[in-house]
Amino acid sequence: MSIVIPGDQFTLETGSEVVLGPNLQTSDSTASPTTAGYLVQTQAGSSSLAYVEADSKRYMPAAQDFVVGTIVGSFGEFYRVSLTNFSTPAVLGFYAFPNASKKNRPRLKTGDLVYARVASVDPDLDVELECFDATTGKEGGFGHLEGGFLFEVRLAYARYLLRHQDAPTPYKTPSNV
Amino acid sequence: MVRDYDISNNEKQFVLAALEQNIRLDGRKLLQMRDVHISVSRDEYGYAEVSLGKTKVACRVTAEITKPYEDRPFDGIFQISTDISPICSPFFESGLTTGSKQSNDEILISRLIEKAVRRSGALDLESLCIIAGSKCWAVRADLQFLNYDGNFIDISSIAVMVALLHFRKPDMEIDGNNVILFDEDQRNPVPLSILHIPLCFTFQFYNPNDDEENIKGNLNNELILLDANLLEERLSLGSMTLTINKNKELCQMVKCGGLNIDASMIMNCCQHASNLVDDLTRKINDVIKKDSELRKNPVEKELQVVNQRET
Amino acid sequence: MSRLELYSPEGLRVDGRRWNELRRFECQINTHPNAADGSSYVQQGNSKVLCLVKGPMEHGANLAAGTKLDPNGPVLSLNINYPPFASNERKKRPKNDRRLQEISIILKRCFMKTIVLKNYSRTAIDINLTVLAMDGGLLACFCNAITLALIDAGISLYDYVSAVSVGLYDQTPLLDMNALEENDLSFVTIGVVGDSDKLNLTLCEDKLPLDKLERLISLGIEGCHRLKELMDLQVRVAGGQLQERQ
Repeated sequence: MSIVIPGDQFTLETGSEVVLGPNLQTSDSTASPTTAGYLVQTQAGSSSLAYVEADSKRYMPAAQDFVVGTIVGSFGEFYRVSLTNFSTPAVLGFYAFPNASKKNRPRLKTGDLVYARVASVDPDLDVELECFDATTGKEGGFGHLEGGFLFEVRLAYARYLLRHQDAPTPYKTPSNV
Repeated sequence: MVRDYDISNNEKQFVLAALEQNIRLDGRKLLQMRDVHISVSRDEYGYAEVSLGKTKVACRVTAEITKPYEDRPFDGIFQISTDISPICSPFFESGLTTGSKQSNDEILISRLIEKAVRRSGALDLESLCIIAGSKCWAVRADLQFLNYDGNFIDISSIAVMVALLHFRKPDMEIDGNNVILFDEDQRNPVPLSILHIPLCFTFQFYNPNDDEENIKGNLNNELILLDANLLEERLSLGSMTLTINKNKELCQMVKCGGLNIDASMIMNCCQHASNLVDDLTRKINDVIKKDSELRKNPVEKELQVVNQRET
Repeated sequence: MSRLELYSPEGLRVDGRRWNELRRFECQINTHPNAADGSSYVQQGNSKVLCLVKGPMEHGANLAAGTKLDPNGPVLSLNINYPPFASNERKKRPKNDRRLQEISIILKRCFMKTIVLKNYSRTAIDINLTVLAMDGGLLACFCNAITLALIDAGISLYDYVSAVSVGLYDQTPLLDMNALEENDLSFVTIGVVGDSDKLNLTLCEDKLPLDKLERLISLGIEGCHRLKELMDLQVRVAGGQLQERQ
């Protein structure tokens, strides 16, 4: 692990597939961090993973992130889901649930918690969420969360919990919100 | 766009279920206050920082000489400014947006503090008069809210009172129509004349039953808690602020609508607050005493004067 | 300045009442049948207040632009009109008088707990208060007038909210203070729901010994119950007239 700051440039190992995590941007084979933090490079199966671990406060949605959000309203065929207080809510389609149809779909109320995956992030569009596993189309543990309590944790801690299977969890924290 | 905290049903149910079992998220009892931490400035007069858990407020007291109001020639001027900026939380927007929930909170907070401290006569305004009708002290307390975790009212009343007690205005002499002000080195500055220390206690109300039971029923098992944190304050169905001083005088009592509460329960709250006020007043006085002892070292003062002569 | 004797040794107040007597309370409902959905006129002694209620409706006229309607209940908007001629000192009040703003917030929160919210989701209710003459008991008059006007507008309430002010003269609590008494004595305004002992609103702005509070509140509650009876009587009379006309 090394400390990197914006403006640094480093080349990524070519040959194998590299998955870029948060706070990195690339052009060709050089990568540069967008935030100051620790550069982490790990091997995960056939591909390697690189990201910058930074202690930022506000969550910026990134595709494929697992998030917990609060339903704050609905419009058309979408729920409005708040991921962080005082930021633009994301949208979750009425039918973005496994096997959802017009007649058979989860009816969520304002204030309900959902565990979801960020499906797409486009600067010009609302962030879109989905509640099913993209590869299998099955449930995959996503959906309405009932009971319990929502703990706000730092982003770095949430990532730590996600990446370390054996992390000591004082609370069962599903994800970063 | 006006935004509120998005609180999920899960959190709401959890907090309420815990409250019904007499437990709060931070392990306090329902009527227990968070620890008050008071610090005052060492090298200037009239600055205090108070924190109550994560809620934090700074207060600065200043004074200048102006002309008194025409309808009150024998009184000084005392102003409290409470501008809640987004520094403490994005919940509070800068500039008042009329009609929104936030500005309602802001109006209530500023009005309550104003009434608690100014209207209750905590500061003796007549003692601020220098020459009737032409010169008086204008004392101004500026509150800066630094972090929001519930209960701005109680903490503000503490902060303003500590800062007022901590403040010293320059000593002066009147020579005909001229006022001579003395420097800190020439004469010790004089404290303001504080008549009593009013302190606010805010109670929040919760209802384990539905609205109908609250109005028609006789259960009277509404939950009451003191010094709510952010989450508790957002979930509360009604609140009441009592302002009490050490002499067991009620300076203010405001219950603005919200949950209907039996009169006997309100009396219990008053009783509880009057028990707490002694401790808190002692704590404030201790801080002030400690500070003035630190300043009152006569040898140091003497040396200072000598040093200045030599240079 | 000659000191007025607010409470004589014989037990009489400046206007000749005993300590536990209300001022003459007169009220009417449906005073402006063409101007609003509900209206009322309340007179407590020399204090006179008019209240007009419009709603429930889809859009509030008084609402700030962009205010969203609430799916869980009505959005109340309250407008207080306190002209300079209403009180003794003819002072023009600034538009954003903090005291009136505070009172309107208190009243709003008070009635949000009294209106049966679930019947009025996504609606707006406008309340307009006009002070014709003020001789003490501002908040109390407002509260009583709004209750009556809401009833007249047919908005479902859980119960009446009646309010009255109680002051303290030395050791004696005095019910329903007038302006002279309010100027010199500390007082509490109390709002009670129906016939219960439950307080919906309390407002005390001056110093008061804590041990006297209980007596003040209990006297206030009695006064509120009496006012509620008087208001109920008037509502029933108005209801009877309505029946006859049909």
